[in-house]
Amino acid sequence: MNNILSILENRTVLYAEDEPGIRNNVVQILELFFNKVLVAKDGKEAWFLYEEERPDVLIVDICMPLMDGLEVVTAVRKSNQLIPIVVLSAHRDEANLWRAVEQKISKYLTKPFRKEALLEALRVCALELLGGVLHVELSLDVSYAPCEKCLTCKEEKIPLSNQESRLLEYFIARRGQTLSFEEIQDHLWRYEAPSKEAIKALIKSLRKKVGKEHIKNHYGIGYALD
Amino acid sequence: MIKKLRSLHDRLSTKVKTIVLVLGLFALLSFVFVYLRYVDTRTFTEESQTFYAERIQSVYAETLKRTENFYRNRGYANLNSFGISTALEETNATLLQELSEYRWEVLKAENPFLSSMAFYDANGMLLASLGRKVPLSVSYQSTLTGFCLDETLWYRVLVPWKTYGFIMFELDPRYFLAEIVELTGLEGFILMQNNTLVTLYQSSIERLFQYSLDSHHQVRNTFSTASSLFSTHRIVQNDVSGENFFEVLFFQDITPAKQRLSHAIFESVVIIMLLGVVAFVVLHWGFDVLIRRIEELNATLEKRVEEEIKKRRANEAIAKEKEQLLVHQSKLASMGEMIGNIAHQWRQPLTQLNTILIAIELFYERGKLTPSMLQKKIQEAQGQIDFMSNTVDDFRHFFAPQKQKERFNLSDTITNALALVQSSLANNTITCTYTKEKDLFIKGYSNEVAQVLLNLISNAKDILLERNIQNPHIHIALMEKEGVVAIEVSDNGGGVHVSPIEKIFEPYVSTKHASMGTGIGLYMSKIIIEKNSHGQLHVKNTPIGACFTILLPSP
Repeated sequence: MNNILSILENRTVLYAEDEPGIRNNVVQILELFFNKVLVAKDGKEAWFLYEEERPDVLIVDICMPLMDGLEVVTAVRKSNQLIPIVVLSAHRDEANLWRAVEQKISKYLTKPFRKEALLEALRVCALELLGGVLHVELSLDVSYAPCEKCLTCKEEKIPLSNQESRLLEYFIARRGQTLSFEEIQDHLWRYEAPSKEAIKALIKSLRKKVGKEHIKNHYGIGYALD
Repeated sequence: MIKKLRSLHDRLSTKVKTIVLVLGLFALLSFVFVYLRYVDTRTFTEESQTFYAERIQSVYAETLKRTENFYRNRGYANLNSFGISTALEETNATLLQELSEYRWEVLKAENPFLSSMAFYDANGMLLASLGRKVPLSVSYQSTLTGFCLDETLWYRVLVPWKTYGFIMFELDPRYFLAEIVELTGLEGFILMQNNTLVTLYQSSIERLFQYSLDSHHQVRNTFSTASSLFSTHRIVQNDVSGENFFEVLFFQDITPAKQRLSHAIFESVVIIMLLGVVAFVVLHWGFDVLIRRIEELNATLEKRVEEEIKKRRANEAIAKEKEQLLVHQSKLASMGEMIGNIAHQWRQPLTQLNTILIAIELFYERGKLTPSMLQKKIQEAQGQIDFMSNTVDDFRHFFAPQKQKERFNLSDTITNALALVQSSLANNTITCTYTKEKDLFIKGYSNEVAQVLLNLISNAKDILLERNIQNPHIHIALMEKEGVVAIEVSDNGGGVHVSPIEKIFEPYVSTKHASMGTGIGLYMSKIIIEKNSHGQLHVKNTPIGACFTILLPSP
């Protein structure tokens, strides 16, 4: 459970805040947890970056010029009900709280917030990203713990690399489906994809760790997790 | 004398003075009343006396006339009768005497006062006579009918018969007195020139006559006996010769009239005395009651005045307490506002400090904290702490009581005040603009002006938020008009919904939601501006919102 935060390591976060002093520090903090931190100075920029980058987690300040944080959240929720959202605010008043509640917010943080509150919010986000599942049974004797990025095979622990765990989590999320090479490439790397060989090598190493019988290769179509 | 009166005037109480005055007036009125009564009664008495006199006169005159006519008729009847006229023509005295004897008896029986009947011839020589002894010759004249003195007084009626002679009747004058007694009931007497009396009876009238005489032996018009009062009525009569005259006198007893007069006066005086006593008693008693009432009234008045004063003092004390409470509440509100503003100003740096600490901790935990980064973070934190410290100083400067008036730049005051609420406004996405014509200096208390300004801005902010206005905006303008400096604070919050609009400056009138407003901010603002800065605070509604104007005298 402690290491659930580690699943954020290969995720992207979009952070919107208009105060530069606070923004810089929070960005530094977020960079410790996330693979990538997208920064917006106001609501409009936040909305634009969201559309462009499709981040995994959204952290917004309510009080921002041009478009306030809750308006951004409302816009995002129209197309995405799953993305974890943390709202930061100096306001404690009820009106904002109710507006936030309506939008299914993962965590509502009031400024100034404590380290523990921030970490708790991040944990909630991570848990939501996992769909609340901490152990995935792949077969009778093979299971995967996303927080630890570790396979358990007949009580033997096999650690997975960052890329391997992301790929496995992608397979788990689309269990039973046959994923094409392009789909995998698109999901894992998006625009800056490495060479086809590198991907093949990654899949191969993962299949070796999980067991080839669990990730099947359908020639000409792609791979599928049982 | 005057001094004595004055000292008396001073010594006597109002009561005595008033009683004397009232009784004096009463006495005066009474005197007039008695006098009128007296005059009235006297006039009545005099009138009745005059009437009485006239009546006597007329009865007397009537009796004379009637008697004359009566005997003239008797005379003619006698002369016309058989034998008399012939006997007279023939101057047959014996025949006349014979013929007349019987008639004389009849006439004498008819009137006992008839004293004689006589026949005279044309030359006035006596032919025959009956009764008393009459003069032997009487020269006939038509005017001879009347009184004549022949030893004693007689009344004669002469009746002629052609040219042959005449007949004469003689009456005792007492006959008239008797007639008058019969007709009026008043006994009279005849007073001769030689002061001898002819009276009807030998009565008390002679005694009365003695009473009536004055020192010159003349009869007085009024006189009194021991018990009665008399008034004299007199009729002056000449005898036929015109040489002698006599008076017919009547004494009227006017004692009852006199008594009536004095009785009337006595009655009046008694009634007046009684009334006077009653008036005195009533006045005396009434005054006591009145004085007691007045004293009571005075006492209660004093009491009431005292109570009123007490009440008023209590009210004043309450008003003062209220005022102090207001001032206290205003101070609390200002403090609350100040704390609110500080909280707003501090939230940002506090959050920043907080994030700095979190960053340091997290980096340290991961072994990623480099000395240069730590130093940078410490500097950053120091910067924020300085900012917070400055903020507190700024607020303290603004809310510290200022003892002395000073010349200050109003524009700077406004800028500083705006800086204090800037973050509070920004947090609520309220935009605020400030325009000025030029720098303006005035003399006064800069922080009081700032306090009012902050209060106005704070009110505008609250209304803008409460009414959820789109694109909330506050505009502040500094200008100078005709030697008066004006600061306008206007918003687009929809205006003041209080009628009349000046009521907004009264204490405890708040348009805000109960939890937000104390209702004294504007009241205190107005007091501060009017009392301390000798300015004015006005409000008006613009098409989009409210506009408050602070007017300050230009130095």
